[in-house]
Amino acid sequence: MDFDPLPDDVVQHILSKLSNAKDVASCNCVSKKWKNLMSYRNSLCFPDGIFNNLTGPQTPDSIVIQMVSSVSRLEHLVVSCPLTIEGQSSVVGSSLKNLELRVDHRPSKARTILECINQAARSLEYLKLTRVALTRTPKLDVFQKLRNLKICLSSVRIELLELWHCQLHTSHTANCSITLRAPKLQLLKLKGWARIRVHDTKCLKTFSINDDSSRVAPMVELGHYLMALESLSITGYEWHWEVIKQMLQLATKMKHLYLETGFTIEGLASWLLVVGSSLKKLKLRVAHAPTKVRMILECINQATARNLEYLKLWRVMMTRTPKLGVFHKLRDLSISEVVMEDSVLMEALRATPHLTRLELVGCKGLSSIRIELLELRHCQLHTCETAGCSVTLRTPKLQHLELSGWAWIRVHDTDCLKTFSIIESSCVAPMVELGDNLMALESLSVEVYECHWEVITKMLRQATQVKHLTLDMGITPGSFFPETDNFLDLLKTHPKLEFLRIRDGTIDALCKNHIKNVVDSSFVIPCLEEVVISVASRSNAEKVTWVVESLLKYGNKIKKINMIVKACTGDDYLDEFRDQIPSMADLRPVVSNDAPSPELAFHFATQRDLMKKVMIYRHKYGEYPTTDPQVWNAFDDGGTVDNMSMRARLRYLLDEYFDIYDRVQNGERMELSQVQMEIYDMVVEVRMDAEEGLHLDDNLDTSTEAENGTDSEKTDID
Amino acid sequence: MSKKTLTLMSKDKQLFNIEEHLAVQSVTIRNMVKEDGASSVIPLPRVDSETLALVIEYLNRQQAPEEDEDYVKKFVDERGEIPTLLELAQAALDLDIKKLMDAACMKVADLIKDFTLEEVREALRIENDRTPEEEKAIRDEFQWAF
Repeated sequence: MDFDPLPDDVVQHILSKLSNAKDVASCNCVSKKWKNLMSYRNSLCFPDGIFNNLTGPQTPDSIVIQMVSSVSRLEHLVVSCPLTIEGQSSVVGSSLKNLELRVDHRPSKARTILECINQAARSLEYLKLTRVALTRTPKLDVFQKLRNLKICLSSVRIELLELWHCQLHTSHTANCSITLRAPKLQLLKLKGWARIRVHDTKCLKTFSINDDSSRVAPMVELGHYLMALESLSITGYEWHWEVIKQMLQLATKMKHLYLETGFTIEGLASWLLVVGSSLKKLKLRVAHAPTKVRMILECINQATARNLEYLKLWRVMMTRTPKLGVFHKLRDLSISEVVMEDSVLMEALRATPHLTRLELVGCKGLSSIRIELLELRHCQLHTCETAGCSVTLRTPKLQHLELSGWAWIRVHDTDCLKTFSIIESSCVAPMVELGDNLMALESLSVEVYECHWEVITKMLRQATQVKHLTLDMGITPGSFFPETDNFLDLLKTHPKLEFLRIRDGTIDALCKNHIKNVVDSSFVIPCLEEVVISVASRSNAEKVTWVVESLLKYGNKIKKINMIVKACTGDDYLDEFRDQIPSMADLRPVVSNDAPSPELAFHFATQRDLMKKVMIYRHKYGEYPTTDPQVWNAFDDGGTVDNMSMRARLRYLLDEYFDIYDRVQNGERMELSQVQMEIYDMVVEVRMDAEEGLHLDDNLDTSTEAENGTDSEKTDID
Repeated sequence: MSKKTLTLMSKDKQLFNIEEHLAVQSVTIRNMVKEDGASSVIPLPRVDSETLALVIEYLNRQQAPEEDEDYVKKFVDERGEIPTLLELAQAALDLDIKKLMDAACMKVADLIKDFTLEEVREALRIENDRTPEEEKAIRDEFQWAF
């Protein structure tokens, strides 16, 4: 073995990747040499909560000062933990290039700290301040090198000569005003301001104002030159068209225009005719009467047909086909909340022969459409009609197809199709006719209320190379899968399968010719890694048990089997299940990292060498508590979820346990059952996750107010 | 048109062939090729053959630029043993392949975060150069971090 010491340069590189001050501090203790190497690093990070368990004489201030002073040329510093004003001002050193600071002080002190940063850190290129409250303008000299600024403030006037990028968010509900004087500003993002004044907009390239919450249209005053403006994005409840018009008239080189607010047809039309030819991307919320919609479409077509590459429209209602010429470069078209008839849509699509991506979401009024697009690769069609709608696709290059709401689906030319999913909300079993060649298909997903077996059978027979398979549907009575004697045949005929999601009812249908067939002893399931089984009824328990047993026996690569047990099966189902599979006898509940979720997670190791896990989720509420598909996925993944679905989960599932949590935290003595204890532990974990998530959110949009800081966490969950 | 190949030699004298246009992702090799055309074998005296095989596997990747970041991360994740990672980091440093080196070092740093001091020393072959008294003093100084 090799016991040479590692070369210093390797060690130094590894150490430079540590930025959390805690890790840095403990590595100082490894050896003297490491301590020396540590002083060459250039970044340090003090996350929130780092000093939560501090005992002894040291204060957060003294530790941060000590750590910062031990590094000779600190360039990146993040302080998200609370410090006193003296502590903060003494760590803001001259060499800093990036600084993130949680201010968290009264307005007068916040002013002091800003002035102090301004004095001390002249080389600063990036500054992010959170939880700032200012009542009086600080006296600031020029930040010579500042390129990027993120602050949240209530009312402020900023003068910075070299500022390039600027993001300013306020979450104040009262009228806030902002005045910016930054002649080199290229990117400006504002949120929540009621009065905006920006002088010197000669260099401004990107300007976005996002304001979903405010009910008042902001007043905007920009400089007289907007020649450089390429991208303008406005989201807001109700804007004065005059304000937008003023901006548009000055901007003659616009490439991207996103308007999610009201506009007048005539105003936009006249502007489009002047500068439309340079436009590459356009997003509009239309929401006008049908005749006007036709007008605006014709006008967009006339003005932008030559260069437009991306078009997204909302709330489009059309009764008659507009006269459209061909969009020569349009590749990406997305229309949501559409009301139109078949012929109108099909006529309109004739103007877009080069589309590679098409999204129609929330269609109404369609009954039978046929789409022929030679270049199309991605397609998503979603109809809200409940009567049997039909769709026919003739798209030879199609790779990804997602359909929902259609009763008749016909797709010719499936040679390139890689992913295909049907999500059906109505009760009709869809009829599907695909082309003969499904060899390229990697992911097939059918999530419908009910489906004919013949349809599934036909697809499965052709799609032998499929890797991800989801069969989440009921079966029309009396049909069965003729190809298989038992479930394992499905795995034999689809050797590349890695992920399988299936219902117990489907298992029942697949195992029609019973399960006791002898399996060849050399048989292995080659690729399957993860299986999700949802169990809704007790009647299939025997077959489900057999399937899990076989998966454990023959599946060499099985890593995870998730079982979603609906509450209607009764509490003792799991116990029976454990009794039936001997290898699961030592099934014991643990809080697993894979499932930081409020469901019960069980996990066990079999006697075999391979670690195999069975996680059994039991939904406390039996059904999914929401119709939001993101939340469904979050349930089923049990893993990483974004903030929104995390919140929904918390809201729907954890109220009760949060209550227990709070009562226990407040010192109330409670008799908890075993199960309640386990869930309680998980709530603690979810709570921590959620809080982390929320802080992350804070950092992202920097919109927390100092005075509302503590309350906002609650409102986010509520 | 045939593509030009280079030959690399590991510490234990094994030879590896690689196409020149792939090999020059290594700044070290690029400079060598620039200087003398690198017609002969390029010796890599600090890199053993197993590690070199890995490096070559990495250089031979066929990834679209936008997927490259993910690929490097996955490549390193799959070889999550510290000794392998250290060899890989050292080789990437010698050959000056920035992405690979960053990813390998990042992974090691991630792994050692949760280690005790003893484990860190053992994993990274560090000699404790402090006396027990000195060790106690420094532990007291940074006691908040444990």
